[in-house]
Amino acid sequence: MLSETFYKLWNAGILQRGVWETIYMTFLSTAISYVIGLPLGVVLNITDREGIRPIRWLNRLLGVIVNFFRSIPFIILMVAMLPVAKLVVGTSLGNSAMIVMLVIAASPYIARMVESSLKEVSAGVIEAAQSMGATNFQIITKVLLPEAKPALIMGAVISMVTILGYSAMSATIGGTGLGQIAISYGHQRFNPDIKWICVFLTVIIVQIIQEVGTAIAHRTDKRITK
Amino acid sequence: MIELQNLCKTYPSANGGVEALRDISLTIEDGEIFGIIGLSGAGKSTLVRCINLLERPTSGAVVIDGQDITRLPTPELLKMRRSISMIFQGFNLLEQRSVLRNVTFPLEIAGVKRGPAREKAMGLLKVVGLEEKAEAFPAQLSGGQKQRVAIARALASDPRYLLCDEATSALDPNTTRTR
Repeated sequence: MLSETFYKLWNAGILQRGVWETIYMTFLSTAISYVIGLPLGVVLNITDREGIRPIRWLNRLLGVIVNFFRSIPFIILMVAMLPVAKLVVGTSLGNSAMIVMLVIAASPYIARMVESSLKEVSAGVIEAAQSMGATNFQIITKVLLPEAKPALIMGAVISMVTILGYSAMSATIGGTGLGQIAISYGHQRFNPDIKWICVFLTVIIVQIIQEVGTAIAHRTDKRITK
Repeated sequence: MIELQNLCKTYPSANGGVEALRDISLTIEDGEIFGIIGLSGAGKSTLVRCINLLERPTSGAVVIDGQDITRLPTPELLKMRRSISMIFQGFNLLEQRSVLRNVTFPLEIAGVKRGPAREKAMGLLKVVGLEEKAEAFPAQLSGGQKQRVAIARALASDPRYLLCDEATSALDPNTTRTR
């Protein structure tokens, strides 16, 4: 039964399209979110009371903004940000609009992820760089980011899986991908088989992202002695 | 010449603050090896860390070659720090960099080109007896080896002054000997 449904959808090219759209949305959103979230996380880290350049008001301000966006459940954020999507990509429908939503939701999350990864870099190593006369910019590019690289990669994997989850939710307001197939073909047409096929494919994608990401993080981590 | 003038350092705390340094004045001539001894918690590390302003003194002056560095603007202070190397108690090596790239690190910061920096670093690794560990990573080294990397790193920038916080505590009698 399940396999029959699977082949039917597969031969129609629906599943391939769904998988591709999910992957496309997830990767593109993650990439754009890092363009915003990574610098934001660095600023949050360095302007902290214990950072290399404490600026209290800026840290507080960014903290409040990040917390604001992080405290809104994604399904509500999505609906609320429709006008923003229209402003940015000219439409509030389709995948480009969904990517705007995903970026709005994921950037603050990634910023916190980056901030906490950088916090794990030991204060002693930062001091050593300072004692050599390193500028703050040099400390960021040569100490903080490279030393935190394995943690940053693990954070990216977690973020990507979260974004993949969000992308499925975006099907409720017109996003496509596996989420949309599960909802419109599966849920709304009372076909649990299709729902399970989508769940199964999503699990596979998540597993691959997790395994590959973990492997890269391990390979780059020089603290692990082989 | 390093001169400390009436140096005080008080750490703020709930009940008025902890006085780590109280009115310390001393002069260290060029070429002099100056040791600071004291009980654990006496403030030796704090004093050393005040010399390159990793720790800002609450009051007093740190005069290096006639210049009070507590009054220097940041860019000048950073430049001054390149001539004062420091060896830390905990080594503080960059874990994601190879031994060689740890030693070239201060040169990289000072804007020295890759080629000459590597050459210089290899020479120093030879001095501390770790040339065959150049491509190893700190996690693969013993405590004493890490410390020797830290020493090579501190010497890489040809510093005028060397601040050592327990620089030879992890070394055996063979490697401790100064030449």
